[in-house]
Amino acid sequence: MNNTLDYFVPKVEGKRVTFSRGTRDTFNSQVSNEVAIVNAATLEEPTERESFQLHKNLSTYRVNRAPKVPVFDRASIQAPTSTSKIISFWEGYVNAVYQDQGYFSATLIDLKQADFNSESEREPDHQAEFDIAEVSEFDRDLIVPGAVFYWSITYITSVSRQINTNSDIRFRRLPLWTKFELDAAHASSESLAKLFGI
Amino acid sequence: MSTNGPGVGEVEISLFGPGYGESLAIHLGDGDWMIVDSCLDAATQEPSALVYLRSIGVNPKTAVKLIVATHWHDDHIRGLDTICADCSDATLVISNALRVREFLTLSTVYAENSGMVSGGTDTIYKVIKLGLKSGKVLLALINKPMQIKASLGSHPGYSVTALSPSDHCCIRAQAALGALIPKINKQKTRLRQPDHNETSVALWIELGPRKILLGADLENGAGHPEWSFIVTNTGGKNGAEVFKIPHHGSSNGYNVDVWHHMVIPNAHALITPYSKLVKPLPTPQNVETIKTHTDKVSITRILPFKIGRVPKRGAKNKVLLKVAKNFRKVPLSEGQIRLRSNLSASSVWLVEHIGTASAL
Amino acid sequence: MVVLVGKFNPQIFQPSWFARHNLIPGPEADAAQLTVVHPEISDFSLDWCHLNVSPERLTLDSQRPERYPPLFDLLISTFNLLSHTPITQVGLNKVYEFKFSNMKEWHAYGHKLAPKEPWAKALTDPGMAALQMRGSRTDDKKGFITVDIRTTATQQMRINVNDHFELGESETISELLEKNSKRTIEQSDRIVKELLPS
Repeated sequence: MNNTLDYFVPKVEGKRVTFSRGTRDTFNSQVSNEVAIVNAATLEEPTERESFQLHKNLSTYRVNRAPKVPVFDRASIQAPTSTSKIISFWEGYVNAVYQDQGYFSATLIDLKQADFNSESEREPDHQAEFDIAEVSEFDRDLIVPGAVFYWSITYITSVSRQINTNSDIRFRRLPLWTKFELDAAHASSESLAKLFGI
Repeated sequence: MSTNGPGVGEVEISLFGPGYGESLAIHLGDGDWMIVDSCLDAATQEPSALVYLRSIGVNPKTAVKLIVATHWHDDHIRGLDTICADCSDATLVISNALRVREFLTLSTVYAENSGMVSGGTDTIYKVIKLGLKSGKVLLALINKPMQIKASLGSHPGYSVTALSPSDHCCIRAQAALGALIPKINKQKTRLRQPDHNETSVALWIELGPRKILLGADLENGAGHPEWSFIVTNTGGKNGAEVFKIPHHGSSNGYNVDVWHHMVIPNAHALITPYSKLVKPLPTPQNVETIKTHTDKVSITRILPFKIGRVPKRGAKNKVLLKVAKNFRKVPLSEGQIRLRSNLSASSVWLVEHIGTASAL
Repeated sequence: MVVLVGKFNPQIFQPSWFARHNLIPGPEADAAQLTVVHPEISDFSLDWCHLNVSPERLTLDSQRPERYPPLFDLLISTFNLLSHTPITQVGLNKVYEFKFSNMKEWHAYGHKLAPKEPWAKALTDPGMAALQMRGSRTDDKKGFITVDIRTTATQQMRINVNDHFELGESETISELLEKNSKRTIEQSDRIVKELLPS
């Protein structure tokens, strides 16, 4: 076998397979890029000797167009199709409440920046004052110093594809303190107290 | 800034202060250091005092002899557990006001309930446990020196003494701490810190003839002039050349008798700001009051903070600024005020303002 | 979406019960859309979440990403109160929808995840329709992570990241959610980001 014009190079055109004279190199290139050949009975690839005779024994083989390997460009993926996209997300805690003036001051932690894998307490980054009126009526009795809330700014896409920006403050409704928790802490603190001699 | 440490015969006071919080590293001479409180360095998120000591070639493990936690508020305690773990030769000193069941229960309640942001008790809980484990914990008792080194050779020796909290402060604090312990069936919230810092440990340091007054966050409570008590009940201490101004220069931390009786005229006054309030401290009036006693006033960062304002462009920022009034970033940049002087009586103080620190 | 497997009494899970225990505001409970409350099944929606409970399964879902933390708070608080409810498995799911700008890129992405070459001999014009991969947990918990990617419509696909936990004997659902809910969200985002490289 040599690389001269001894090979019949297959090409799939629609449902037909045609052959043209070519070299071993062009045969190998065509098989790896454009055509997939397999023995129809054994599902094995033909040997080089068998390939040489392929054009005479076409019915023995299944010759398909080889699957294309398209280039993937991530830029073509569009943003998620959900109707709500968070663009800013904070956890805040109330520092002080100024009921008469109708606002409260808070310290804020940027949840979009926070490292959730870190075990240590996240550092607060920002401070601000909020009108009590920005909080929904049924959360207002939760506004006390130390209370924790979530504040998000989201893009909301309506059915008509209009985008509106929405601010949402929601106070956390955490579990109530239980007798079990407080009793357990009292018991734990006994050992510390003994070490302190009290 | 010189990256050389102070000489063995030099005293150094370095005050660190980001947007809120403060920490001090003090060289007592002869390679002995003490650290008061803790705040975090913006770049490394490590305790500022440790970052500084390492930068000037000091090994905190062996050099730091004393760590004082003046009180348990989160702005004075961030990273203190790291300091205690790293400075394994040091003795930890905590406020006598914390040696009560109520505080131990309060800190244990929050330490054992994950998911809750504790406001400082987590750290002090860890710090106390570390100290008790090492056997090196002291309580700050008024007028009883917590650290003394006798004079030896050319070194004049030093003493560090607590000026507060008073016994009646401790009793009041006990009730206040008890009130903070959560009640059954109440909503969980972040631990709210008491309004007044009556239990803070103010410190008096004497290094031979040199004297320093550190005011911590000690405030006068309603009807309880703690600073007047200190002036009259702490053995006539006077002559402080350097005064770390109490409670960020607030009027609650101010007492004219302290200036007249305990501090020399025109002493060096050091302030850290506190930006968490709607009206940050020190206010311009606070600064003017301090300046009636000295013109040598330094601050770790000048107010108002100019950074961190969000531009008014874009839908997100417009909504953000509409909802969150006076939205501002907590500045983390570091300011350091460093004072060095020879231990002899007549030496002047060399004052350096590093980073965002500045004279006022 | 959170899925809990255990033993539940669906009749308990009514909006009024949640409001009575201050887990949701009263007006929110009053405005709930009840589908069914029955000994065998309870199903209702608030304006920000949907709950479905059967004797062996509870599902709580929200279409608003900014309400995921309150969703976890709701579960934590609920099962703090119902601390004796036996729960054996927890699945924390986050769903992402993507759209490709053209068919070529859509096919290219499918090929990237499931290369066509191994299928070339078995199928004509093979293409990925759905793919599920399972990975081990990297923490000390029992369970696994499953990622399911499937075509939902032409040029669209959905990725579902499921963080599956097997609850230990002494572990409570409240503890597990408190410690892992935020981490799971961040982990899911990271997994999807890895699957769509730049």
